[in-house]
Amino acid sequence: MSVDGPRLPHAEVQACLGSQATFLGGGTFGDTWRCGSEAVKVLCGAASDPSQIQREINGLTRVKHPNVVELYEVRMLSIGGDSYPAMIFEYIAGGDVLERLLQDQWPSTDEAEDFLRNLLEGINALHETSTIHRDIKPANIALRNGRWNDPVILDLGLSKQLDARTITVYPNLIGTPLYMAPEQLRGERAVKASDLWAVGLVTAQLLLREHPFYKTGENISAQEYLDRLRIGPPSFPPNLKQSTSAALKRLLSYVAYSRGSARSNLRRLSEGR
Amino acid sequence: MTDDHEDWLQPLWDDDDESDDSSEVLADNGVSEVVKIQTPDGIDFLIVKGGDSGAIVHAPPAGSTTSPGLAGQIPNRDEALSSGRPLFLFTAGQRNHVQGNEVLSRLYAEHGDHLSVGVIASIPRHNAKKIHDTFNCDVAAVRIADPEGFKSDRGSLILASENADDYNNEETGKAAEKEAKRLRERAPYLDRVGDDDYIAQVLDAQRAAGANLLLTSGRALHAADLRKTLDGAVDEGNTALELLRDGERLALNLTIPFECMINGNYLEVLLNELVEQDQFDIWYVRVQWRRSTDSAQPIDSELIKGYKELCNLSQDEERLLILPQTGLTGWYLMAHGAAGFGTGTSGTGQGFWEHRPVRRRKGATNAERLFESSLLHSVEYSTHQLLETEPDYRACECRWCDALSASGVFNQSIAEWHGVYNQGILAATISRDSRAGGYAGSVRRIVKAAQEFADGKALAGREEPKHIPVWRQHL
Ligand SMILES: Nc1ncnc2c1ncn2[C@@H]1O[C@H](COP(=O)(O)OP(=O)(O)OP(=O)(O)O)[C@@H](O)[C@H]1O
Ligand SMILES: [Zn+2]
Repeated sequence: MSVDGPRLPHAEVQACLGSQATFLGGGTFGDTWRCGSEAVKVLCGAASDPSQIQREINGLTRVKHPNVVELYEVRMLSIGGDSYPAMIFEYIAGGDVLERLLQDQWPSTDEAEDFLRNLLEGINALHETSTIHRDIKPANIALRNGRWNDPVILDLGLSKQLDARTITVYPNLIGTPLYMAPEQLRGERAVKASDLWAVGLVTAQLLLREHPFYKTGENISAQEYLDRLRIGPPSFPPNLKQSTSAALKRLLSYVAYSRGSARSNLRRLSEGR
Repeated sequence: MTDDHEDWLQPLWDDDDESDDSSEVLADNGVSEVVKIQTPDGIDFLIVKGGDSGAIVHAPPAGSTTSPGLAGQIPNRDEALSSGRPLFLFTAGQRNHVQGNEVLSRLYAEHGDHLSVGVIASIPRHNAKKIHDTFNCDVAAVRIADPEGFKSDRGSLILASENADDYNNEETGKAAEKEAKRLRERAPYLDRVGDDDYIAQVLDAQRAAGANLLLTSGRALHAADLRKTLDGAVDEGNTALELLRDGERLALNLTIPFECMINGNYLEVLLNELVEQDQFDIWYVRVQWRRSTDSAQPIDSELIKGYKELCNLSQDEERLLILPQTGLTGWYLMAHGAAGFGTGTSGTGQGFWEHRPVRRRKGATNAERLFESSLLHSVEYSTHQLLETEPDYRACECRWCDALSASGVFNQSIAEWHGVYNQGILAATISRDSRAGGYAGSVRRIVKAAQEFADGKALAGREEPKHIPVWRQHL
């Protein structure tokens, strides 16, 4: 779900970040560039008040966890004569889950199980700081060193913490309906359990090698889609551990509370139930 | 057990001045009974009978008898809450607080390995002395002074009117108004809902009472405005957490109208919020029960289903669910994951029922009812005497039953103490017999046995334990 090219001219960005800077992709709030061991997210939507954005970003909770991307600092960058807030993250080499899906590359069952557990660990770390991500999807999950068992959550809760009114967002890019929990699709507020839905959905997709509720190119109404979510996912591969398929079924519960918390899901997985 | 709802006006309050005729029957010529108890310093004595019941002393009082056994060291609050043992919360209500202490210390001495003990008093309904007496019990690891904030903001609850004009009988109206005033004198925060420091006042009142587990106010949720009232309760909880002092603990106190518990949509909103707000590790939940039948326990299948969902969730999410004012139903709900329940001698202590004024026929007397553990139900004393002749009947050997049979006449107060004591034993039993199938397994066995005992006995009307089939349906 990236916009095609960078919003700011390549040369101007390189003039600021250095000639080694390469464009990684564009998202809802801005463009991300790689710069050595750092990923620099330039919030280049037309900002009404850059200092306001700076304040909001400074309020972002810093989570130090191997499955959550580390935010080093927030800085104002001067690009092409204008000033933009930028977030400096650790760069996770290895690509993201979306790239793999597009290349038809899939994890083994064992790898998917590790992927699930570690992704839940990352989500748990975020939730422990009362941060809801709200936008977990394949493009927001990097794979450290390209390994399925080492997912890293990108874009930590930015969509919640940044007030959409302070920055111009590309409306078609807000959220990705195909990974949104039923309550988000109904327009209710996202809760921690909405992140769990997305974790379950991405993992189910990896195991089934297709989206559990939607076939590419299909044209269905929102109501039809919600109806499918209510029915629940199809059955998982038989070689999957019973505790994993139980966890996925739980994470894909239509009712939010039935998904439980990241913590309780991790506990049940470790107890093998 | 008193059936308050048979009175022609369900009291808003628990009367602390009510006369008590049990003392004479229970008089033990000043001889007390003690049990050895482990303390951090060595071995002391726990008084389990007589005026100082509940106290721990270095030497047995002169003339006392020492019963065999050694009671374990009394857990502190946090140990009691995290022990995984059923939390048995005695709710003040009866006049004779010595008996309350005796029941609790006996339960602790005999079943402390399988039971944690606590006490609940009500700030609006109980005067300072009653609260002090209730809390003055060494075996009670948890002390709760319930602010009952729903009394100022009744939401969609059905409570007795506090306005004299609503009553046909002038005297009753006046009494209701007077009591409403008294509640507010004891709990001034009830009139301070909008104040900036409302929550601080609610917490301070509990501190002053000597509570060691603090609650949020417990203002009632509205079915029609659930989202907003729930947000209000959570905001209040967050403020309360900020106001906690070193070593204090807080439970989120929710008062839920019947409708919210039986309607799937409301329940979903409620449970979503409880999972989401993971800063609250203890839930103190009171649901108002609808009066629909003459059953002593609620028998709405939808209500039990809602409770079960709540209990399961608390267990899955490792939060402690405390169910005050639930009595035997609270006991049953431990099968589904509740951590503890509140019970007492009065009807109010055992259930939070919708108010319904019932006119009592002239000359009618209180039903004389006695709790039968083997039936999980209270029956008339005359029925009890018939049951006693049945071959599969197991007689209660508690000291209160001894006193009853020695005197040969029914005594309401003594029957009530037997009832509370036996509910405590039932709580301990589910922990003791939990090896097969956990608490659910032991409750299932006890409930099944009760059904089998009831089968084939002529128990009609109020004598019939109508709740048992409903319980079994959800086990
Ligand atoms: N810390 C990082 N390390 C490595 N790659 C990253 C890092 N952060 C982002 N990327 C990559 O950069 C690209 C763009 O990321 P960005 O966060 O701007 O957009 P997005 O995630 O596609 O959309 P949105 O902002 O709407 O969530 C993505 O392909 C992502 O995989
Ligand atoms: Zn007895």
